[in-house]
Amino acid sequence: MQNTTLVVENLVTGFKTSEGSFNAVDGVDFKIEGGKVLGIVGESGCGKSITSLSIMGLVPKPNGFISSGKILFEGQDLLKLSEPEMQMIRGNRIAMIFQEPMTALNPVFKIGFQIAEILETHQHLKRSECKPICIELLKRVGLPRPEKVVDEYPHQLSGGMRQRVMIAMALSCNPKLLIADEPTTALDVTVQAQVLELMKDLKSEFQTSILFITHDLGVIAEMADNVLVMYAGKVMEETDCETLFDEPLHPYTLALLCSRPERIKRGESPICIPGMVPSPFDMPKGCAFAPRCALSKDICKEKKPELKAISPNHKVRCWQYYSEEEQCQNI
Amino acid sequence: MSLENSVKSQSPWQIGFKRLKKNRLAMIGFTLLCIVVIISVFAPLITRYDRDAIDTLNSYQKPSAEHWLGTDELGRDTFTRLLYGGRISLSVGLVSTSIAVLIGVTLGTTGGYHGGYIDNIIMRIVDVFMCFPFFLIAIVVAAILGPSIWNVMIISGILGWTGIARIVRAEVLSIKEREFIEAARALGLNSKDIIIKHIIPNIMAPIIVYATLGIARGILSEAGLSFLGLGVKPPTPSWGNMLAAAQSMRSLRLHWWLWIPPGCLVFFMILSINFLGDGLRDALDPKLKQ
Repeated sequence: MQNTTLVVENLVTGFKTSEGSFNAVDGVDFKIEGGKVLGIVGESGCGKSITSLSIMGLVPKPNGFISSGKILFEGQDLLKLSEPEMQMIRGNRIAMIFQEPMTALNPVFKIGFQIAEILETHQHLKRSECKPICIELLKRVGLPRPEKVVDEYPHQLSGGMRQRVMIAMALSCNPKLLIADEPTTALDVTVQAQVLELMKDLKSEFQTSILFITHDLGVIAEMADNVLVMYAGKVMEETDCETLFDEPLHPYTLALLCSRPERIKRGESPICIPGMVPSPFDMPKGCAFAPRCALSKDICKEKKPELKAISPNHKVRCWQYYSEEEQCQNI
Repeated sequence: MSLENSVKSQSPWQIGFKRLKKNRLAMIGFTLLCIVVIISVFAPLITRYDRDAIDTLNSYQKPSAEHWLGTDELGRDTFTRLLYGGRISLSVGLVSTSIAVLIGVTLGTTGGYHGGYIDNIIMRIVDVFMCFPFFLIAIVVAAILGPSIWNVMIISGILGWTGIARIVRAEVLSIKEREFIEAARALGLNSKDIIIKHIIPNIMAPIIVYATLGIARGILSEAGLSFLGLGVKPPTPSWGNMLAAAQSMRSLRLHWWLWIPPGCLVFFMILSINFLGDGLRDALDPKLKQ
């Protein structure tokens, strides 16, 4: 199972708005190996969710568009597929879990019906054959009394139970890739731990690759094999999970790690990153993080750095890691 | 175990109808409606007279044990005609509303879901249709094609879909942004399945309310057109053309049993449907809590 599940190359996803167009995702590259977890971290609006929607082919139309790049899923370029072909893949070979379990289930249908719908669509099962499979799926995600839950409505379940139902739905067709877009943000801490544990178990059971999007570094430490730190639509740092926590290189990553609440002592105010994420219409000429960066130099304001490989599995986008000559050549 | 049994799964509909049961006015309306529907449907079992049986010797009879609501100028039994008229009036209401709902929901969901220029075109068609004055068009069509029950149904349906299309479109616009629609897309459903299986069940409440009130409107416009002689053609009875008896000064003064019963029936029917419609709106709208 060492083959690569997903390769994303130079993905650019833009939006047209009344104020002009901008790129929410600006040249993102990454790949996910079979059975591995790639975590994407970043602040709100840095392009995490748009990256996942681009992979699913669900960028909001008509304003959103993918202007360049390749998304190779098991060797197949998803961007070249027609809508019906994408519908065959969605939910079947690539599944997605959403942030808000409270709203991601249709309130007017029973749980069993909603799971059965996927089985009917992708596995061409008959309605009558679905019920035992639904119960089996619900049992596998650790829901109590699954044979009752299939006949219940979403409003009768708690948030954690609904997220388990969402996971059961996502896993119903044994997908090769699971995209989890902040799956635990809406849950409280104990339930969050259970859900993460469940996802880990299921990953090793089915060899599913997971693209895990979150802004919680604790969750990343728990789940991810590799991590992508994104800022303003660009990858700032890319490495494996341990390296990220042991030797973070990019000033943004450092700032994120310092601002974690668990590092704050009693009575101290949290360490914030000063400033705001730049508006997509008003991007700095140089590095997008330069205005907020404590270490910014003249070159940072003038020119955008490229992603540079520091070691085989550690890439960073920051002028600090370029030698003097390289910096001079670029000016 | 007892606790688990007490929280039985209730669909949103069951909860809504439970709430409806508590609304007294709506239940009175519902009961009246049911009675009228039942006696109209089973008319042949209730009356022993034939709908169009002429008995000129017994014309203009006062209400009696023989003829409960008297007879008209041709000696036909008014009560019998009232029952059969109910069939016509109710079916005009039902059919015209069905046409309106069918067109309105189809165009409303299509426009709302797809947005963009499709939505623009559909909404401009709605604007155009809203400009047509209903009675004028109805009279012109009746004048050209001749009065008939089918014409009333079709005109009323074709001119009546705009309101529901707007309501449905607005509902779809808000529903389609909800996460479960995105989740449905992420699960690989196509647009048709998403609209039919996920969006329409979520907007059934306003559709039902509008359709209920639409039936009242259909009955009313049938009565109006038939009263003017442009709707249902005699000898087929309808409440509207029975009311036309009141056009004669003599009947208006002397034969009250010819026009008061159909008038009352139209009045109470519309009233009870409106009560029911209002009750349904209150019961099915989760945002309104007593």
